[in-house]
Amino acid sequence: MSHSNETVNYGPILFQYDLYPEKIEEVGKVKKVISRRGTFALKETSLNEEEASWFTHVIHRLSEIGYHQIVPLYPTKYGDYTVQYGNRTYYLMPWFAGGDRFGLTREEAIIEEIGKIHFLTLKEQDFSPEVVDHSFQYLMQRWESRQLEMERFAEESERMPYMSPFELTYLSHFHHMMRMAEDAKRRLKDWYDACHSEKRYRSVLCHGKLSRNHLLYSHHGEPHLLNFEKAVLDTPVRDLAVFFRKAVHLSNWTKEEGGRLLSLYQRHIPLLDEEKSLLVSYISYPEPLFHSVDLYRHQRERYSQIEFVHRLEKRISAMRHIRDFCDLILTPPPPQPLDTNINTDHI
Amino acid sequence: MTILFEIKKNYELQKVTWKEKDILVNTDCGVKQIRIWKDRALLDWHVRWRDEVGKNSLAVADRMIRTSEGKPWVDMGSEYLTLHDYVEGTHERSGHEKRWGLLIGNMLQAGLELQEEFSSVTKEDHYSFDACLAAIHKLSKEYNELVSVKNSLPEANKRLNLAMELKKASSHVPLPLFDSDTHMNNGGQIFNILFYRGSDDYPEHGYQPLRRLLTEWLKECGPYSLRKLLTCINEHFSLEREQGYLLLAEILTPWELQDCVVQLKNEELAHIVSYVKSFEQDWDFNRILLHCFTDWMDDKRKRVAL
Repeated sequence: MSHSNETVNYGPILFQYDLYPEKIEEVGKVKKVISRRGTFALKETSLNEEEASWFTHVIHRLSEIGYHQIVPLYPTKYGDYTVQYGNRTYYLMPWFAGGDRFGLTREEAIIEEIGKIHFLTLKEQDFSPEVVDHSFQYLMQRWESRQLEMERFAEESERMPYMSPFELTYLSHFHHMMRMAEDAKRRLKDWYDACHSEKRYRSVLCHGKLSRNHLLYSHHGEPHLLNFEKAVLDTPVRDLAVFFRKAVHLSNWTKEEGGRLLSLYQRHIPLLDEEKSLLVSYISYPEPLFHSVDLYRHQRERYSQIEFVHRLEKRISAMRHIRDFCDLILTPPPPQPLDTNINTDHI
Repeated sequence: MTILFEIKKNYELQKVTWKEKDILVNTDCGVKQIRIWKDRALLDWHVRWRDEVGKNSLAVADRMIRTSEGKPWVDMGSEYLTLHDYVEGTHERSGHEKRWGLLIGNMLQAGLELQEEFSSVTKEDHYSFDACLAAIHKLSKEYNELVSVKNSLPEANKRLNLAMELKKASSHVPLPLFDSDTHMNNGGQIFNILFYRGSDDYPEHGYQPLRRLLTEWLKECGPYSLRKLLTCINEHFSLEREQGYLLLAEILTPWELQDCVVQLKNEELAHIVSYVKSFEQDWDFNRILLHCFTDWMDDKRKRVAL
């Protein structure tokens, strides 16, 4: 049995599961716990008591409504699903070594699974103009204040006697970024107007942190989602925006591929017109570019100039992909072909 | 055989054998302790306070291990069986005030939150100074060794009156329930956890068990460590206001006098001297405890004023 520091540190937590580890390995953000009783994944989080309780509720609720493609949580011997130790919270799951996958790619599997969850948890909310007004105003104000910050950075950069390569790249794309932000705000206004005229608003259980790292394959090759720590009841667009923002970075990304993934999702839950506007608005707002600027301003020592430039350019290129994809989202579907075999004798 | 079978079946254990008949079993998950309960309401109290205290992982009570169906007990017909972790040995005291403070603070917090729900399963000692007085007068006619006990009566009366005044002033404040058989030796250690072995007794309504524990602490660890312990308890359960006054009232109540009288009434002359000696010691320790606690409270008040 290993007597490393890790074994000692995790003792109080693993004691609650009656697990006496022979070895603990660090794999990404989880600890792989190898014991006589099997191999497990121990996840450390910063969830507080209330968040941990919601997280546990989400996992149970998904199981109750018939969704089983999640990595389950093991209860402690005292029946708790999370363990608080100091100011950290832990939970234990089976270790998924990963087996052969069924035909789907990882992105296809994620969009399929999230479509199923959204379908099972879909709820037509009672329309509340106040809630919609609040969401709209909150986001609009946040976006406008971010734009102001970026404008300030542009002014500062312009005043520099010698601009850095990053500042130069940023300035050369600045007007384009601002146009993107204005377009996103226009789409947000479209969503707001449509919500008011249609008087409807749908919510689902959102995973909250969709990522290809949050999908594992069981040894039977079945996809399982994990990490519902940020799960929240919100518009389905929330998960889709996170998903597509990441997906455009894939090497095989094309707008057609994006359209195909969205169609896979819409087999479970077709988006309403105003939700499409909201999705376009979310993903077309150039926040990833602004985030690169934040990183440059506040953590300049972390990367070299060339790395910062490279990062920004990569994101500008991703935003171009997004713009093409947005056009596709908003394109009305082609009319259904007329069935030539329709019997017209009765007309 | 039936008990072992029930444990094996309900807790889905592979191997269950007796380590100590009807008390401890060896299982594939380590040594576990068995408890049998007849009173369901009492059992519910013990499940709840242990669960509340066990919310953190640094200082925990011996919670009921859940069955494969997630229940904290096994229904055995007319009684219930519970299974607990068993930890041998004791946890250190002096130098570990933070951990003990967390445990006691959480026990008090749980006891306060649950006091209304479980008020029917409590036991409470009543103090009768008149009964003590009558007994000591009667006994002192037979034995000459009770001088120190007799001499303590005026101060005991004064303390009791003060305690009653304090209790009256805080009569609107709910008292926590507390595991009655609380001792420092019940604290074990495993994986750097303070693992507290709770009792199966009826809880007490009020601060008497805590007073006993604080006296034990004072005797073993001294006043400096006791003050540290009080500060650590206070981080998790405030002893600065009404609850502190209620604890003070309990420390003021001369329980050592009543305990001594009970012992004197039941014993032979041969034991009387040792009981009186023990009373004198307890009396002195309680004075120190009172002094430490009031000092600690004054100190807290001064800090607030500053």
